[in-house]
Amino acid sequence: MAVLDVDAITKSLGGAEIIGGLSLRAEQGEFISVVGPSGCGKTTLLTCLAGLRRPDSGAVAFEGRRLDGPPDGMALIFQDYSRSLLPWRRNIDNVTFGMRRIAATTVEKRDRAMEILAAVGLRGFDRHYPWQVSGGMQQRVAIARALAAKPRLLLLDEPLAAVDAQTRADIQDLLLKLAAELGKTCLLVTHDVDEALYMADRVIVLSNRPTHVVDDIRVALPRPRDQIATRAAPAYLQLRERVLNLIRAMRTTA
Amino acid sequence: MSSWLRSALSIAGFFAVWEFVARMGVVPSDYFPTPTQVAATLVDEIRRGEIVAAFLVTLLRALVGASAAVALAVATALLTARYDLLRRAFDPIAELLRPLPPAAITPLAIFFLGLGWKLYAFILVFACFWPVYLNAAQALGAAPAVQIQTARSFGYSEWDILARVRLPAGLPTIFTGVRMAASIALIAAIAAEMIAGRDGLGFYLMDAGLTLRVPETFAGLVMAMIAGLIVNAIVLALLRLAVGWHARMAALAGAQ
Repeated sequence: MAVLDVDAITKSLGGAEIIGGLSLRAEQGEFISVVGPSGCGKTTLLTCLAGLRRPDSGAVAFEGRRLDGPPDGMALIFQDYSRSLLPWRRNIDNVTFGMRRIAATTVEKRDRAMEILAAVGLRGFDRHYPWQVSGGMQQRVAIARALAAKPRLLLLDEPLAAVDAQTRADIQDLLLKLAAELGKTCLLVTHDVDEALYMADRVIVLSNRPTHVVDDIRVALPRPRDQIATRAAPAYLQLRERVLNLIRAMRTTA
Repeated sequence: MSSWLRSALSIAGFFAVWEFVARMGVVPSDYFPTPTQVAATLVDEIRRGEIVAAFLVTLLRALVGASAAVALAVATALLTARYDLLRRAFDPIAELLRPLPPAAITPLAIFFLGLGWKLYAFILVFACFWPVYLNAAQALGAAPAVQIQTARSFGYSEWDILARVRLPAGLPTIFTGVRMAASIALIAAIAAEMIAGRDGLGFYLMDAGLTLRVPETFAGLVMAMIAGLIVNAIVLALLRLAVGWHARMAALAGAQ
C-alpha cells in the first residue's frame, strides 16, 4: 500500500483552474521531489495533500484512508519559517507545539523535544526564542517541530528557498540523514532542480496550470549523497539536463 | 544625563515656574494657589482622610471597570472571530454604538440604573469596551495564515487555534486597546462621579470647585494625576508580563 495515493485531483481557486487531474503515489521510505515551472500550483498541491484544502474532484489517500482534514502522521515544513514558528514561544515550546497528538506527559514531551533539538543541531538553543537565532536555525526549529509530531510522511514546501547556500547544503544533508535514519517518507516541493535531484529517489515534474504530472524520473544515484561528488556524477548531470529541458520547454510554451 | 534625572528636573522646573507665576500675582491668589499651598492643603486633606477615600474609590472603580470591559471585549472578540455569522451580525451594531460619547448616555443610564454601582459599571464598561473590542477583533483575524495552517496540520481544533495561536499572536495589538481603555476608564469614572456624585474624586473635585475651595480642587487634581500614574503603571507591568517577547523582538529587529 502506498503511503500517499493521489488520484486525479483537480482544484480551482478564485475561478482559476490550478490543478488539473494530477495523480501520484509515494511508497514507504521514498524521498520524492516535485518540481515545475514557477507558479504552476505547487503550494496549492501541497495544501491539498496535507488535507488543508479539499480537492474539487479526485481523492487523496494517506495510508489507505481518504483524507478528510489534516491527518495524524503527516507534518508540514513551510518555506516561511520565520512566520510559521510562534514568536512568543521559546524554541523548545515551539517543538512541543508539534506534539498535539502525542500521548505523553509534559515532562516526557520536553525531554523528547530536547532530544530532537539536539538531533537537528540545536543543543543549547532550547531557551532561545526563534527570533533570537539565525534563519537557518529557525528552519531547524521548524524541522524539529515537524519531527516532534512523529510523522510518517513529511511534506516540505520549499523549506530552503530563503536561506543562504551554505546553510541550504547543511540542512539538505541534515534532512537526508534524518529521513534515512527515521525511515520517513518525504515529499519535497521545490523550484530548485539541483535540490530536487540531490535529495530525491524520484523527481516528479509538473506542467503549467492546470498542473498535472508530465514526467516521473527515477534518480538512481547512490546514497548517502555527497554535496560535491553526487552533483558531479555523470548520471546526475544527465538527469539535470533532462529536467531542465522539460521545464524550459514548458516555460517557452506557456 | 539619565532619563530619571531629566524627568525630575523637568518636573521641578514646572513647579518652579508655577510657584513663580502664582507669587507674581498675575491671577488673584485665591484662584491660583502656589504649589507649596497646594502641598500643604494636600497634606491636611490626607490627614482628614476624605480625599484618600475618594481617591481609592475612584481608582478601584476605574480598575474594576476597565478589567470588566477588557474581559467582556476580548470574550466578544473571541466569539466573533470564531463565528463569522456572529461577526457579521455584531459589527454593524458596533459601528453604530461605538461613536456614542459615554457622557451622552449618562442621563438615560441614571434613569434606568439609578445612582449606584450599576451606573458606574455600565458607563465604564461602555466607554472601555470599544477600543479593546475593535483592536481585539482586528488582531484575532490577523495571525499569519502559515501559523494557522501549521497548527491545523498538527491537529489543533479551531478553538485551540483561537486560544493558542490567534490570541497570543494578537496580544500586542490587543494591548494597544487595553492601554486606551485604561486611560478612558479614569476619565469615565471621574466624569460619572461628577454627574452622579456622592463619592469619589469626581465628586470631591466638583464639590471643592463649586464651593470655591481652590487649594482643595488643586489637591484633588494631584490625586487624580497619581491615580492616572498608578493605572498606567499597572498596564505597563501587565504589558511586560504578557507580551514582553514582542517588545524584545521589536528591539532586536530595530537594532539590526
